[in-house]
Amino acid sequence: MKTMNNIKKLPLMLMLGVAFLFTSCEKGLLEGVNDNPNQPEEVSSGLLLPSGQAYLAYGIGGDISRYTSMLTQQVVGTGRQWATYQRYQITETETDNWWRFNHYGGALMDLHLMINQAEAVGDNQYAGIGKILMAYGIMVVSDLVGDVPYSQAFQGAENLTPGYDTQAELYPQLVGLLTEGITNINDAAGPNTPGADDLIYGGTIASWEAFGNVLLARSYIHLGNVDAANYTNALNTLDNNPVFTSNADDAEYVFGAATTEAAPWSQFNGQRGDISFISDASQSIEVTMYDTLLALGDPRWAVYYDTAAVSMGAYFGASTSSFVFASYAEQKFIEAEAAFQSGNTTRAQTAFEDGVRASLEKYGVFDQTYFDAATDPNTTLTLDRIMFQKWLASFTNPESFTDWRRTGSPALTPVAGNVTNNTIPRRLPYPLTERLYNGANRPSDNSILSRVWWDQ
Amino acid sequence: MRQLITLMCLLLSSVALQAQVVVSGTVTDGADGQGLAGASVYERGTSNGTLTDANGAYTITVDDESSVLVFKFVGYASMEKPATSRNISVSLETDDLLLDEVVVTALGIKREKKQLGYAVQSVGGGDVVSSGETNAIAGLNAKVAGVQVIASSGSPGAAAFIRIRGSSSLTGNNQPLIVVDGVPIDNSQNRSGNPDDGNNNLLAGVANSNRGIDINPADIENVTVLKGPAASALYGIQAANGAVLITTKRGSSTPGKNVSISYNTSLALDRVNQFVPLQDEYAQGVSGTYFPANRATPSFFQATSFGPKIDTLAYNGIQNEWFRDGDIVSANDPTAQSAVSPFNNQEQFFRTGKTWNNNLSLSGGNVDNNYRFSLSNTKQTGVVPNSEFNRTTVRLSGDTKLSKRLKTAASVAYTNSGGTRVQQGSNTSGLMLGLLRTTPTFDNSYGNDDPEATSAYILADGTQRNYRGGGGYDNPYWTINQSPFVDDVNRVLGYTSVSYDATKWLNIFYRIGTDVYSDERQQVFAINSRTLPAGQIYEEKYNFRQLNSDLWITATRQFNEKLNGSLLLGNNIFDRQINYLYTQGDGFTIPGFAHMSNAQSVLTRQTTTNKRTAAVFANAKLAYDDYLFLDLTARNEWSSTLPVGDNSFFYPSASLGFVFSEPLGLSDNKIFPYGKLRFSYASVGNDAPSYSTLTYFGSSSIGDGWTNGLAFPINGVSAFTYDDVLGNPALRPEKTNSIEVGADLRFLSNRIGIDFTYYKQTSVDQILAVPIAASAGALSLISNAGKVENSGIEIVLTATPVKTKDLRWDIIANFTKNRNWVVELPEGVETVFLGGFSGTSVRNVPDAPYGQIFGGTFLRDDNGNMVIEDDVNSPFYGFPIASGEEEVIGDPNPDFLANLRNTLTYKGLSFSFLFDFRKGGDIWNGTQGALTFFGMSELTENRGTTQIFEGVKGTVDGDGNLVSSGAANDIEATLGEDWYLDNGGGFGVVAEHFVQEANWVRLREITLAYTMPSSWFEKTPIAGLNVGVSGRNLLLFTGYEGIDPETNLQGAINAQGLDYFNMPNTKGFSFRVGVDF
Repeated sequence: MKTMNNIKKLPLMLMLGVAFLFTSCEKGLLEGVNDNPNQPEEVSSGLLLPSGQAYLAYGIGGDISRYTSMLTQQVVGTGRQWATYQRYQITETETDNWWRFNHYGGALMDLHLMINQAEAVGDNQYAGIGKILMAYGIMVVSDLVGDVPYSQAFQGAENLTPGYDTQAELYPQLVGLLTEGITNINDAAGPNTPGADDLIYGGTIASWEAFGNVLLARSYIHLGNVDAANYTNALNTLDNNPVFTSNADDAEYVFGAATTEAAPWSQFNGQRGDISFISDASQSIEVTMYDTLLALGDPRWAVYYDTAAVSMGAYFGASTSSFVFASYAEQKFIEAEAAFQSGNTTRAQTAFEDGVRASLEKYGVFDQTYFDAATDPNTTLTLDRIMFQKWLASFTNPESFTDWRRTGSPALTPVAGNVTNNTIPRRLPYPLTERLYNGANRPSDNSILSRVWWDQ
Repeated sequence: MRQLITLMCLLLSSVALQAQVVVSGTVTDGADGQGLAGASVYERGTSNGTLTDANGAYTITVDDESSVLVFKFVGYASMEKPATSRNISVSLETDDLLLDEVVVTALGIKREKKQLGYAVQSVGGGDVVSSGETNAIAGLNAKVAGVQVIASSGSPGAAAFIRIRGSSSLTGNNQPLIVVDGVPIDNSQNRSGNPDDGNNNLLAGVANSNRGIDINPADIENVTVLKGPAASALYGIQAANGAVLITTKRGSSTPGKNVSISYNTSLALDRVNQFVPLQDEYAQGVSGTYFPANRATPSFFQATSFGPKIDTLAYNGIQNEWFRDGDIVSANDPTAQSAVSPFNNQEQFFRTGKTWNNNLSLSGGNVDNNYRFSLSNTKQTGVVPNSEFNRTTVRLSGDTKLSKRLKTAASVAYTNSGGTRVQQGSNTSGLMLGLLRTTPTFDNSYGNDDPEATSAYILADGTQRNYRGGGGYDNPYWTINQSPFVDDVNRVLGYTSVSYDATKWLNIFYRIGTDVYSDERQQVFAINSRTLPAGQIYEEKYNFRQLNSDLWITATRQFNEKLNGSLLLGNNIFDRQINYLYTQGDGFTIPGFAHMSNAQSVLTRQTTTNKRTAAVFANAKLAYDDYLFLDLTARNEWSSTLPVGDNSFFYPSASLGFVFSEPLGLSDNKIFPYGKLRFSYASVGNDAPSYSTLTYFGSSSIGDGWTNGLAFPINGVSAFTYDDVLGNPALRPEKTNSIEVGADLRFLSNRIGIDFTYYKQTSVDQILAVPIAASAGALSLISNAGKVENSGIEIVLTATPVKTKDLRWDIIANFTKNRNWVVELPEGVETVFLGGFSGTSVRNVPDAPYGQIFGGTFLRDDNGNMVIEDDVNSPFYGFPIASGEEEVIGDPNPDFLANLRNTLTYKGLSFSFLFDFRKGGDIWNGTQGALTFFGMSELTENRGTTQIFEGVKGTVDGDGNLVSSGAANDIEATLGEDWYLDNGGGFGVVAEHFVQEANWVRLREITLAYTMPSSWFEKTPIAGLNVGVSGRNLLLFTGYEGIDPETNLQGAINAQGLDYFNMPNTKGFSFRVGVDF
């Protein structure tokens, strides 16, 4: 309609032009011309939620998953830039796209705006889901790089150089945010409620509550090395709140068959193909997880890896694959680790078995013989055994990189030809743009060999 | 405002009737006394004029005896006589250097160059045509001091980037305004591809045209370049970067003839002028092991050519789909049949391009009316098979004098242009990418000469035949047959104008012009294309409409015998609307059916961009005794794109021309007859892009720099995301201040001329999207910030060393040196991204030349020495260490540009050649970097040899600190795949070693033409016949190790200096015949 109006105004405009010197007319001629016909100035929470979710799933399940899977030796970079990263040459350019487009400038800002506007109109479910996802996003980025902006972030022109929260300051805030989020979703629903626009749970609030609690437990277990009381906190969280009860409860974003909906690994493998999955001595390709699963006769070997196609297995490599934010299996491994560290080996053994079973069943490859051998109660339960099985269960999940740093399990050997004096990187670098545009706040140490606060 | 209106009313009310006088006489040639037919005779300061007849006679009616008559004829010095007698005859003397050359100035107003206080330079239409360029903008290359033109490639229809006196805007448009017959036209390079991908579309895709290509060069009478803000001040914000004024040919009356018909035809043959140097000694594979294209399991090691030496290999003679002569085996293998010789895939691929040009024009008229009609067609096929560009133009122009006081003019031009373009640049379907990476042991063509033969690129099972076993990159034959891009532009340019002499001293002029076009494009990627294996089709459509209205009133006055002046008051209204529609269909079901209905998912993007400005302007001119000229201009502009209530801005200019040779009485001096000084100051403003004052939401689409990513709607769900760019409700207009001084000196009876200009312009308060930390929630904030300075000199040297009755030798040389300096960036911002990749980019950095190449560097110690790894356990022992930092690694701005044209004419024969020099200016040779990684660059032939890298020995300890004794390096490092697959090649973290200087000397044009004497055709209807042969780019001397360094990956944008599998440039001959009736 706007266009039509403008065209209709043309003859008028010309007449005005001719008459200009005899009248005073600059006013009115420009009115409304700069009203943007292409983009709205405001959108509903139901439009921001799927945006935030898709940004998180594609960024963390794509770019971040590739780095962490490579560092935890589940895959090997062999082509072009990825051959360089494989040797631990990872610079501040590499995290720039994800940090800017997907994470801070994408998912987190959309979620931040959604939380604010949902709170303003009392859409408590949107506010609660937003807080749970915000806590998830901040925890992921902090675990990867260390101190990050949060409490001063997302202020737009009001604060162009947000200060950094130390990781020690962040974790209590995340616990607060998750607790608040869980409270919000159980408050009165408000005028708008999520449904099909919730691409993770389709608006099922109970699932969000469980997911929130599993994230709470995850936040405690991350800090086990900092303070052993966190193991108890994790167990208390799992014991006293609704949590996942089966694989069906997993927080997953399922990608689509259409080209513009396809999973990030499938897109990367099809469009770039610079990462290899299958060990091949003739090409000096050594994939630790591939070799390990093969040696163990683990049925997940054929799920993760497709030897015939020299590729990723279809479960993870298809366009319709999913990205798992948190799973029932992970919850069980958290419980096993927390119980073990609290000295309750019986509970630890049970949770350990549940975790292994959940993982095998998730891929439909439960095998009693393998299960019995892997979880043999007669073999002394160790943290190594728990974390090793958690590593096997967490294919392509960035949580592997955090687990390995926290516990040193599994024991990984630095790759051949590395440029880091035989040290596996312990974090990803801050992106270039934070140095360029927020240099005064960004911590000066950006070595990928430095450790984040909880990794001491 | 009110004062202005009052003043105009006063001027209008003083119209009075006066007695009229009829004057007649003849105009003759001062040398032979013959009458000059077609000389113009007009009343000074008015548009009242006439032309002489075949005998040189004229009759004109003027207002009264105080009128002054001006007599003009091309090639002769003009003359002025007061109309004090009823019979005035004059004889005109020939003029060597056209001292009273008339040039077109701002708003299309013709003025004597002598009167101007700023630099302008003209190029004749013939010189644009003889450049052999299809694109009129490219045809200006190496012809004007202060102007830099960079053709993006030799692809048919590829864009040419033009800038005058450097870039003044940090991120905005830096190209000049293009004006045709007084009406601004669009010269954008409209982009292709999903708009969500923004500038990344320029890294890949096809070479699009700049819309200036729609102008038929053969219609151009003359091009005038207004170089500085003082020259273009009356155009206001649109011409903040200078202006290129194109005047098209008008009809003219030839005495005794109703119509003149002219027909020209030409054929040009083009070849690639410089290939990329490739190795042809080593086979496909790695570590000396052969990994064939048809290996059972695909491997990344098929990608590289670090295999065995080719002369150790043989074919087994059993033909298969991949190898015509059978699989490759060791020469010692019992199945070995015939020796393997390397394929030169690169040279085999390119063809001879052909350009057919046909131009027909009809013109005629009488004293009061004239018309010209032209029809032209250009049909170009590129050096890349299946690439083409076609253009058909029709133009009709006419001028009519309705009464002694009222004149009208109009012109309408229709252009249909477009072609078939080929994928290029950084994408796995890019032509050069697949072509140059192909190993010499694989024949992309499968022995076919026919570029469309399917056995070259499709296997029996429908998958792709390429050197990487179907993975990697498209076979170039696949690209040209399976990924066509076609565009079709329909455009109408037109204007009509009315000029009314209210009195002898008051003229009212009105002109309205439009530029309307639609640009429709379609790109298809067939199933199994490497970029989009599922297949894709997109359709995009630009509908562009621009309207420009100018009204002005000019009052002239002779104050006394020596002082005269004029005052112009005017109004301009400019309105532009661009509608854009993009529809993309992904995932084909039916192979070979390229239609939206065959797509599994469809996404659409749509934008409408509106802008309107209104302005009032004034220009006062004073001339004293025909040697001192003062010009003052003022313009106030209102723009829709600035914040409401704060959208008005004012800017003035002043210029002074002083012909000091006149008061010194030098005009008869043989040695130094003419000298003029110019001084000018100007301030010019600029507005913001549309919709910059607020922040909006946009439909979410998600990528990660590696993959195509996601686009909403997904599964029927829509999503919106907050814009990456924050709007700013407090924007102010941009401002550029400039000063210019110059001198125009002529010597030795005007045989030698030197025109020198110095300028300095400072741009402040620039409106740009200032990058911010993404943790603030967006990526940039539109702000006023930054400061850019351009200063430089321009020298134009003209000489006529020989001039006899039959023989003439003319020289023109241009020299351009510009210092384009980014003084400061927005506070807290260290660099501003202009274009390129995440690893190597073009950025603005403070206190440095504009548009620096930015990329990974090697580590240097405090003394600037490169540090060479001396830890024997390091895989890089003996090699330079990467710093892990990105820094400035090159400056694409040339130190200077120069060119020299010599023209020799002997009777009807003319011979002309143009040399073009460029000193300095870096290019990132990303092509060579990538090809080094792939073992295909010629420089990898040194594999196995040793080198002691220059630098100091050292290492980086576990804490990241440099440990170096400072001792000079003496470690012999063995070059080879370990190094080239890492930082020695283009996919490591270092880019600095692939930055090269793009110096050149080229023979840009050489032309031999012959115009047959008209006496030969006296008994025929033919009035003239001319033939010519031209060469373009025949010689190129450059140290650049790639294609012709006149290239740019992203085309006509601010980020210059990147070469990443760019299309090559071309050289060629053309032959033409022209006949006049």
